[in-house]
Amino acid sequence: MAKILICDDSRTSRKILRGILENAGFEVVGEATNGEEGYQLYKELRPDAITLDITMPVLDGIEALKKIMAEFKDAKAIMVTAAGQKTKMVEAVKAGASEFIPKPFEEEKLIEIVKRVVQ
Amino acid sequence: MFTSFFGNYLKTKNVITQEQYTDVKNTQKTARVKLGLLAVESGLMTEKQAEEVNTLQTQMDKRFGDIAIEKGYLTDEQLGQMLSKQGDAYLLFVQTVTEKGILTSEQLQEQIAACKKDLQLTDAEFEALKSNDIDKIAEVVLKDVELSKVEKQYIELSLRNIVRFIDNHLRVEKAYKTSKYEAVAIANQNLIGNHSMFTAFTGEAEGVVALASIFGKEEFSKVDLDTLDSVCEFLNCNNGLFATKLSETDVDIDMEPPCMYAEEKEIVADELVVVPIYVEDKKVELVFAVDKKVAIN
Repeated sequence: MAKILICDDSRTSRKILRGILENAGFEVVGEATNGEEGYQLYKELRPDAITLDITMPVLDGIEALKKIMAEFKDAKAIMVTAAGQKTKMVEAVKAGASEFIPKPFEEEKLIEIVKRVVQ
Repeated sequence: MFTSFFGNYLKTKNVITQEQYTDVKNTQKTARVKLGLLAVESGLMTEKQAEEVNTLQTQMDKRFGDIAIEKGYLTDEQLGQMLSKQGDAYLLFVQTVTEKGILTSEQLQEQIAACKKDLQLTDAEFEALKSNDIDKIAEVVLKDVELSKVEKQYIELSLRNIVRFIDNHLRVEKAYKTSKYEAVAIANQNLIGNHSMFTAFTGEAEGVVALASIFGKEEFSKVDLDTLDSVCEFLNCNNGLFATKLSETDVDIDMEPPCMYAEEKEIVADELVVVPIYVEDKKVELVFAVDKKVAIN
């Protein structure tokens, strides 16, 4: 069972994401509410993949991704994006993002993406 | 949308009761417009012909459309067109209130005339409200307020997204401008880039709760940070789609993390645009400003 860490400042998003992932058989090992917390929890929990919301306080998703990738070259990060974040998506690809999940979440698409990343 | 708009008008004029309004809305969820009413309203059959077919239906095991074709009142093609219109919101409303004996057809027509007069709506504007087309409805509610292109685009896109993600029976009232807005709570997100925008959902507590519950797929009961978080998520998705729309014209904006205020606040700006929206008949307000300095006190 693949272990996933969720990093999103929105409780609603975390809850919906956790529900979808757990129903699909993934193990959600932790939740972080900003990029810095996400980085710290990644170090501690070493999940198979982390979902990173792009727009977050303290440390945004791109900066958190850079910190994680600098330390863990094989890290698999799935960026959670609202529409209209093309520039940020390009930045995320350059920083090593594995995939993107668009908001609002579409269950089937989301599961397909996470499966592809952790396989 | 038509039922929410016109049903609410009739309710405020004490023509129908709250119970009747709720009953009509609930009935409409599963009802289809009868072909006889559609044929008469479309001018394809006279009332007399429709009554004749209705009578024949009581004597033989045949459908309305089959009898009307046999009698030469309708063609196959016309029947096909009518079947596709059976979900028509206006006709469903007419059918439901008349069949329930709440109003006669004549009384209904009188009320439509009164509504147009009271709300100063032209025939074309009333037709737009009948259409259930959110873009046409937006034209009507925005007609009296002077808006920039970006402001208009933002309202139109937000309304489309509320129809898409929250409530396709929403009701919208006329947008207006103000410099001060007293809020019970605020779900806010600022946008930066080629335009600097303040965007927020606020309104009455029960409206905010309704929006949050539908989008978050969770039953919220009061306005607190969890409820506002759900509203902020909707606002974030809405603003993301708006950023995409603007990027088509080489206008770049980016979203900042949302902010929530679960207590009474005052929003102050040179100019704020306010759009009253009713989600499940509960009021939320879209409050925003483009390229204006905004303070939350």
